[in-house]
Amino acid sequence: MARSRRHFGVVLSYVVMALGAAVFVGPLIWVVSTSLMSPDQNPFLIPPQLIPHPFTVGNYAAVFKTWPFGQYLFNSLKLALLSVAGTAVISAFTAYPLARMEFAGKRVFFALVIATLVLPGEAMLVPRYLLVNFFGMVNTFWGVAVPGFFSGFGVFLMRQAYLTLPQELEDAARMDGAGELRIFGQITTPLVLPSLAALAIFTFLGSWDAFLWPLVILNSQKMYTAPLGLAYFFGYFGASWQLIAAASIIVILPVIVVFISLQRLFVSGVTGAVKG
Amino acid sequence: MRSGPNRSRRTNPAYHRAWFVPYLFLAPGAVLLVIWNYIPAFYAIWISLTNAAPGNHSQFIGLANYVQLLSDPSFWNSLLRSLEYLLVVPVLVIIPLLVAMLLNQRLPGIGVFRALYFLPVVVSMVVVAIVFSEIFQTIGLLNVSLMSLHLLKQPISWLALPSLAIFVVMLVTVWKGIGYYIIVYLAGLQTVPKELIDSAKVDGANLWARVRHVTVPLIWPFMMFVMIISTLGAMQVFTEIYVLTGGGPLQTTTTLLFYVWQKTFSSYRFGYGAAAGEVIFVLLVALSYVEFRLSGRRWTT
Repeated sequence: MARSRRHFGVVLSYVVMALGAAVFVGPLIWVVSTSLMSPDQNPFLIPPQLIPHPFTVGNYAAVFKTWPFGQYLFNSLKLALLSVAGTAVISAFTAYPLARMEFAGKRVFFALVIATLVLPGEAMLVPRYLLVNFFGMVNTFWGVAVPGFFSGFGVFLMRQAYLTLPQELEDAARMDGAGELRIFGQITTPLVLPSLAALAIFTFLGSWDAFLWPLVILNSQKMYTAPLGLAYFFGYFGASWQLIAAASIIVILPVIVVFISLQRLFVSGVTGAVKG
Repeated sequence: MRSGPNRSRRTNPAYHRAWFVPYLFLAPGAVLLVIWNYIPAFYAIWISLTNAAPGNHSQFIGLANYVQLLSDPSFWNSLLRSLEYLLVVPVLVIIPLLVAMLLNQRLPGIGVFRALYFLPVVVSMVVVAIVFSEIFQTIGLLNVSLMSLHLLKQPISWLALPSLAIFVVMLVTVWKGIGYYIIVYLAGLQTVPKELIDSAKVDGANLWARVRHVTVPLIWPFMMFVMIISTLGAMQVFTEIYVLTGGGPLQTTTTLLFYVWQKTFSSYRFGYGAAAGEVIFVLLVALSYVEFRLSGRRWTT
């Protein structure tokens, strides 16, 4: 009796989980399927076809031939790498003394860092734009990336990581005559690389996904990132859904591949932000 | 940084570094923090008191922007829409918790499901919004499906109906956001000792009682975290609106942030946009304050 109830529970769990998975993955599969249709095929067939018949990869070529989509992707990549480098370096340097040194003003500074967590950049859209303008960085990748180099989340995450290291580690290095910068660069930071990698992935993802801020800062088409280019061709040109679908897959595929190969780091990044 | 080994330091466990070392480490981050967070926060107040626009010498005009703001029905509409958008918060606090409890079982293949549920989180919002636009447009996947199942005679213009459009946009926010909160809750559920659940079972507590009296009190901090983060998210919604509705129909999806963006970058009224931005600022501070107060409280039954 109890056993059959347990079995029922397990079966029910799988059914519910499968339905949920269909809700989350179904639309994405539909995009893949649509991207393989020629523009004169009907993407709204019921029931949807997993692999359209006949199928074509022509849309993928067309995306690069008829749009400057290669340029958009390259721009997105440049911007993301710039953001990752800046955020990783600034977060590590800022978090380190907060975790491992005593100094006057430490608590105040940390409070100022934490306060940024509840005040997202979107609330400062106008003044930040005017500052970017003041520094002459409108329509540059620097203008998009630099305001995000300091990340409250990043500093918090890295501080948590540095806090876990034992004091003996530093003492031993110091006895061997290592200076502060060397201890930071060669002893402690290598040990928090998993956290740094999690931060890098999240920053990359955030930059790859960013829309409003690049939309405001980048105003020439040749500077457009992939999301901006995609929205532009979707909204203004009303390009065919089959073509848009192919472009969409090109935009999300790199991130999904990264996600699948580094799943563990994603999860540790999310949970690292909650703890503490 | 140090020149050569120093014998007294070597034997002294309480090593004293030069006082300025921590500040050297902090300096670059501190400069960026001030320039890009604290200066804008105060600069915004100043801008909002001027008639700043591209190409003009901005002049101090006092509270004129705010007066105009408060007398603009579209502003009040956008404020209401932003508050209405907070409907996603309870959804994002509760649904992911239920899913996480489902995914927290020891079952073969459960890792695959966890990965699948997280997938939308890594998909660019522009793509998600475009896909849902193709699903919900008048000749879209949903209407075609419903009509072929004879559940619908006439297609419904989901995105063109003032009463419906905002809910479609919210659905997009929820669909993409849920996976993130599932992971947060899974981390929370790891902290719940299995023995506690088991002993509650032995005591004859049913599922609802176990959730209410064991699980929820223990993961309460995680629920508060999700509440705060999803509130911030709800106030920052932009891409979904831009792609799906452009703020329409009849401004029913024009939230505060969208209003600020329109006033600033379509009408090019920086001062006025900054004034409206201050309202977002105040709203966020107020919401965060309320929620922090709430999160300080323990869950009691």
